Amino acid sequence: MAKAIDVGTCFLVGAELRNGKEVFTRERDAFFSMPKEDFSEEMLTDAGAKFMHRGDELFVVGEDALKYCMLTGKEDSYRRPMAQGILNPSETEAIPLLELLMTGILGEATEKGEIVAATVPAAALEKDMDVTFHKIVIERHLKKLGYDVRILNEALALIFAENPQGRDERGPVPFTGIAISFGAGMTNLVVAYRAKKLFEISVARGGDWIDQHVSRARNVPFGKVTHTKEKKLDLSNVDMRDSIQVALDIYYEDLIEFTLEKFAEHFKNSNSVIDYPMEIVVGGGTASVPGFVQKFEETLKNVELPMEISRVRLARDPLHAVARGSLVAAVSMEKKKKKEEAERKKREEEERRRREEEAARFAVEEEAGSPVIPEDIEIETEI
Amino acid sequence: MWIVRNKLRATIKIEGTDIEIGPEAEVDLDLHGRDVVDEMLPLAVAFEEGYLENVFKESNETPKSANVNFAPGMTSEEMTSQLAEFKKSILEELKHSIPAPVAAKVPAETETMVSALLGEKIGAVQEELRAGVKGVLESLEAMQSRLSVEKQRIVSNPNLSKAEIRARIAFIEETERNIKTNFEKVGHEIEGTGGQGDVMNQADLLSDLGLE
Repeated sequence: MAKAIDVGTCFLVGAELRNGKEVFTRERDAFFSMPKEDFSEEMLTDAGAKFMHRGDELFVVGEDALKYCMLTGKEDSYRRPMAQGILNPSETEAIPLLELLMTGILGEATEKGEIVAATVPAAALEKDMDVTFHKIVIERHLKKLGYDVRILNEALALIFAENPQGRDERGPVPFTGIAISFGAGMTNLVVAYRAKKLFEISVARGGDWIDQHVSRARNVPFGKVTHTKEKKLDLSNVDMRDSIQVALDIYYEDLIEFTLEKFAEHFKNSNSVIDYPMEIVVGGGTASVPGFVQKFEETLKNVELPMEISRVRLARDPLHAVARGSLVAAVSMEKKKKKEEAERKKREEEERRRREEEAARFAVEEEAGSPVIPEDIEIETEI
Repeated sequence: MWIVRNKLRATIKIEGTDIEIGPEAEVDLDLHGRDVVDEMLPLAVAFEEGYLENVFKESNETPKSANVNFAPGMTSEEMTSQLAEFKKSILEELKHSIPAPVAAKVPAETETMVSALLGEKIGAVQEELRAGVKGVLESLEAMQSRLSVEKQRIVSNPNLSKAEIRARIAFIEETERNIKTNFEKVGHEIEGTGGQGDVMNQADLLSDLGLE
């Protein structure tokens, strides 16, 4: 059965169907490096931490990495294989660590050629980013694990997960609308019509951008901002006595406004016209903060979009929606692949049968010798 | 001290280190640090393939004063004869260290006493060495069996050519050399709100629209 993976800046989420249920496997896309000392491996094993060692360094991976960062306060040792939606170019260990995490989440293909759908962002508008290299690294590693890899835009995956309904003169149109995936490293947006991507943009701003600016503005550690955002923040009920929450509220608004303005500007330039009201679906880790949709709707009032918006809604499970949509795509692609294989086999079988019949007919004629000539036919032979 | 001999008529180079062992030459691997050398997968493979043989391996637990060394794989006869030699040399040493008049007065008693004492000590050292050698061999066996299972899996794959098999095995060895983890799976699992039916229905709908 097909699988999917959402390769995000903050989290890696795997998705598959198991015993009739959707199952997501989530891990923080991070590691914490420390020098290898006599006691360190024992200490980590006792603490139940997952780690790897390479040369003289130990790397605690996943969720435990953030815990060690919080405990030790060593922010320099908290490292991430991804930055702004793609492989972190300034991180030397990015590729092996990302590969290790992907392997740990998906495992090897159950059967050779099993389909896996993996998400990548679109190239950001305001930055020169090597999305192609990022895509190749992911594709190559998943192939190595035995998968038939399909790559798709993460915002389009949101469309597949949530199936927003458009409407034209003939009635509702499935998989039609605007999807915005607010990730940690980037924000991706697509406009889709009948599951086809009509327009896409992405901006190199996301949850990390918010955290960095709040950290700088309030002069507090990055980890503390992330912690406040994930554990305390409610954008519909901001605690005004908490300076971090106030700053987070301001930067959230700025991120939404920036994304919508860029969308309006580029969509107008593309000369596309959409005459029907569109639904907006938002998802991603950054959108999973309580009160996000209210904040989005308030900000939307201040931006003039080139089409009418029927409603804004949050994906049912914003943190896993991209992985879920990728799984929907993977299952659909696998069905198509199996159908095509079955048809090919059927054609080959028919061809084989036709050849066998032809060969059998030829053999009968050979055995019978020359055809018997009826008596009433004369044969003239010229010598 | 851990002396190994290159059984080949070619130089063995251990990748990623400065260890080079000339044709039929012997080197002391402990010069590179026992802990480091013990972890080297290529060395384990070289032993497994018979390119290298142990000449002499000092157990880490061996007391420095007991200067007895047994190579792994030594037969019990060889071990006994080496122990006898060792016993003899210690006795000689003791005889020389005991002042001559005293030695002259009670030579037989001293010899018996020392001999009994040494017998006990040698027995203990022998046991310790056996355990040490057994431990080394077991860890080597575990490593080899892990590697051979993986090799077997690749070799039995009918879709791979010989070159691909060799390349893949080399890749596994390279990866194992570089990265060691204490886990196979990462992440925690969460059951989604939707069932298999939801995903299937959505996938069917997508197929109807002709998803590429």
